[in-house]
Amino acid sequence: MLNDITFGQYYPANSLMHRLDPRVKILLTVGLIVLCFVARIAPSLLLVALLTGILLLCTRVPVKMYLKTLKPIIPVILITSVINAVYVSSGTPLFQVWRITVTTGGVLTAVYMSVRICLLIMSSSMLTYTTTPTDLTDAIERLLTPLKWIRLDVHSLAMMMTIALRFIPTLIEETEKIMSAQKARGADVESGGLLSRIRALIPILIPLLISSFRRASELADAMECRCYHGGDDRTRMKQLHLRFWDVALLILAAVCLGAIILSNHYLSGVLYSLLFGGVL
Amino acid sequence: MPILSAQHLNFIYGKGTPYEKHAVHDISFSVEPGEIVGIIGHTGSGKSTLMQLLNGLLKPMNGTVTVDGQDIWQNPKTIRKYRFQVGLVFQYPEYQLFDETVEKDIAFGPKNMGLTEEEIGERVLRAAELVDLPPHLLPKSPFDLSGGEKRRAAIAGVIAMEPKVLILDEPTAGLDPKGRQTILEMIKAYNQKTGAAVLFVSHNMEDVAALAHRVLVLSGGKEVLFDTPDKVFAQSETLQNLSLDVPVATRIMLGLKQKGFAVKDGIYTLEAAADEIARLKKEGGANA
Ligand SMILES: Nc1ncnc2c1ncn2[C@@H]1O[C@H](COP(=O)(O)OP(=O)(O)OP(=O)(O)O)[C@@H](O)[C@H]1O
Ligand SMILES: [Mg+2]
Repeated sequence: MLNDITFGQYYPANSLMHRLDPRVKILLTVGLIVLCFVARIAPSLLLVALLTGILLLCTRVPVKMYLKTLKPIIPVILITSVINAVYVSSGTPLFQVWRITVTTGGVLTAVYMSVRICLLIMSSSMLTYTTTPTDLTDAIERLLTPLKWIRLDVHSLAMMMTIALRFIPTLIEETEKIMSAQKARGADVESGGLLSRIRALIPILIPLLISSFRRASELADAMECRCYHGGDDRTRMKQLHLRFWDVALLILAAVCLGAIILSNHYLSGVLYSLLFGGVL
Repeated sequence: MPILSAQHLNFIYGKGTPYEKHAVHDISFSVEPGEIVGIIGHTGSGKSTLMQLLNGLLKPMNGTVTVDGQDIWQNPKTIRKYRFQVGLVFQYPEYQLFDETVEKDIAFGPKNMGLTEEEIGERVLRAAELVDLPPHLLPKSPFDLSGGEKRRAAIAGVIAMEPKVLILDEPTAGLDPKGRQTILEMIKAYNQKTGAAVLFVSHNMEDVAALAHRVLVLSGGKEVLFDTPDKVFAQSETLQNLSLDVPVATRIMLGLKQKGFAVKDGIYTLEAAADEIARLKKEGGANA
């Protein structure tokens, strides 16, 4: 039951994307998301989709896994599409229902928005599928290092994130164990009214809380025993180095970003007249 | 008729994901009423998984579990009934204690069975006595007990349901020798007083040798041996290949045999070993 949580699920595989520097992957993902929203005309949006598609194929994660992440947001897509189609009134009217007129502009905006949301979700799952949570926080820490200048304790933040991420599976496992143990004594969490269900959680929550506190204090002791004292003067065991593909992909992303911004500015007028010249 | 029987059980964790793990592979065995079965196997061999299949906490992908001749998964709605009949004590059960007092915690299982207050009270006292928990501990908070006492309180919580089959997953793990002894005696007492069958998982061959009528050996989710302790421990080579040990007594006998002494096979308790050595000495004395 608890295994269904797909949050930050790493999918082990041996691919170019898996080997990429996690910092580069974060930048690429952020870049893709920015691109989605910068692209305002069909050809540039198509270009972004193509780019995302190529990167997704580079991960060697089954396409099925990406489609799975889209399933929970189908309602979001539907709702935004309807709202966009109804409220945007540019272009020519297509049809009219009651007092609402749906226009070509509205439909186009709705389609663009849906494509953008899908691309956004898929590119962020590309990041979490190919990067282990520890690599991810490590990279975040390094990317945020400049914020030290405004006295933000980046290291502690990253450490807290790492520990929290590290203990999510442990906590899930622990919950399952305690749940099984109480079920073996006839605890019934799956039926009954709301009140009795809440009451049935007590035998699970209390041992879980106690063991979490025990774990936290054990971990603190273990860290102090190994002389942990925060981020000052700490060296790293795993150094990150940018390699050929890291640099190449970063440059490619930068070029795409530039191209799309330019095409928004200079091409949109030309393209619109080419595509919709007859209609308008 | 066997009280508990497993036929061709299969269980796979995370089916259809890259983390798929075939933890229990075509296991069949049966347990007679009043029997004590020891289960041994290297870490990760699927012992805990098998135990959870036996009381319906996990549903097998394949195969059946029958209790008293009835398939427990025939009607999934009645599965709770079988959890009371096949009591399962998890590894480190002290981490499941939750109630204000020891007494209330032990009463959790019987209460879920829907027994009367009176019956529950009696069962709590009986279970506490069986696990050797003195009455003055009953009104205390379970979190104020010592480690060994917590363990016994948790076991009492399962025993109070008076299951026909009691399963214990590594009940002596992490206890001192005296605590271990208490638990072993308690297992025996429950078996003798109620005639219930007992299955227990253990990494300690001495415990298995001292208690078990039959031994089930698992490796990589598969059943390797299921036989009486003398026959199982006679196969010390097979066991060593599975990174398992044989009891000290068996090891002594093997050593004597290698030195050329004519010792009997199938000795696995220290008492029997002492008798055998005494016999050898007497015969040796007669020869001289
Ligand atoms: N909840 C789970 N999800 C996925 N895999 C699991 C789960 N529980 C156990 N496994 C895997 O199934 C296999 C059998 O595990 P099991 O706990 O039954 O072994 P065990 O014999 O009890 O080991 P131990 O002696 O260490 O307690 C192991 O390889 C383990 O990694
Ligand atoms: Mg186990």
